[in-house]
Amino acid sequence: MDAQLRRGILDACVLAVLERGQSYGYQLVKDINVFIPITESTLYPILKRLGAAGMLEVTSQEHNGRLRRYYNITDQGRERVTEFLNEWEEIMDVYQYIKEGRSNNE
Amino acid sequence: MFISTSKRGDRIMNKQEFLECLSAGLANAGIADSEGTKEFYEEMILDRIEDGMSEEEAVAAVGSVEDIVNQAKLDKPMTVLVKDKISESRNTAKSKNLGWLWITLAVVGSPIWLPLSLAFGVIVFSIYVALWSIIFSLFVVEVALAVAAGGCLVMAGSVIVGTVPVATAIFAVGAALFIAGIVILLWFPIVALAKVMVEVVKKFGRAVKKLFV
Repeated sequence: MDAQLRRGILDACVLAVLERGQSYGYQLVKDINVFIPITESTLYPILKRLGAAGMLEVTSQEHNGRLRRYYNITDQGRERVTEFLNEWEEIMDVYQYIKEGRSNNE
Repeated sequence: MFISTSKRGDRIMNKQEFLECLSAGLANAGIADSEGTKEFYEEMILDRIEDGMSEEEAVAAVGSVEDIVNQAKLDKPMTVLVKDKISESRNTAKSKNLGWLWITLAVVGSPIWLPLSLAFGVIVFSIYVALWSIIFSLFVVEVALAVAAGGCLVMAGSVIVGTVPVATAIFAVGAALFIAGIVILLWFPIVALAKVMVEVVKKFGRAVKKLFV
């Protein structure tokens, strides 16, 4: 998959997981890995970037005697997910058009 | 020099060794938020251990120090990346006792590398400015149209003091409404296009940065 396309999809995946409720780093890796392979070294810059863009907020909560960082989606993050869905609807229309063209030729 | 994988010798590092290695790698690369990065990976290792993995398995699963450091480098400003690359090349030459050769080549080769680097910098800067200019010009079009609509309204308003005939004033109101309609219609496509352009600028910046990582 194209690197830029993958980056955009991963951003949306992280936000989509957080739309379902707050989560932490390892849980995010597990949830996203079901759909698309992701490692910690890929996730960390995404979380930093989304945080800097105001799309998610970080809070520290105690867990088993240590602090664990939890991530929450913001309104801006939700807006980004909506944008992503709208963009992909347009892309899917083009995909259908291309696919139909090919099946007509076959 | 730091170890580039999650291995030390033939065995996989434990958490402490991995974090020390990561710390050294981040310091070596001059990463500002090294504590935040370390805390994130420590949390990841601990969560994996809690999930049933052994310490070594957890360390191996979070990936190599080299990958983590390279990803962190991409967040650094362009000028710092170029400076790092030059220092790295000089230090490599020094470690091989070829520091004198590095300096000699840098001085002798300056008529070639200096204009080439300047040209590269100027080209990158020009593309950057050109991309931002496109974004800026989109909004200038909107502002210009809004000003034109305002001008038409002012012109229509001067019918009160009798400087323009009523027919002209009505025409001016119509023109103002027409232009205002165009401003509203163009707003969303222009904002969408500007967003696409901002993404293009970001992608361009990252592509240039990758040349130095």
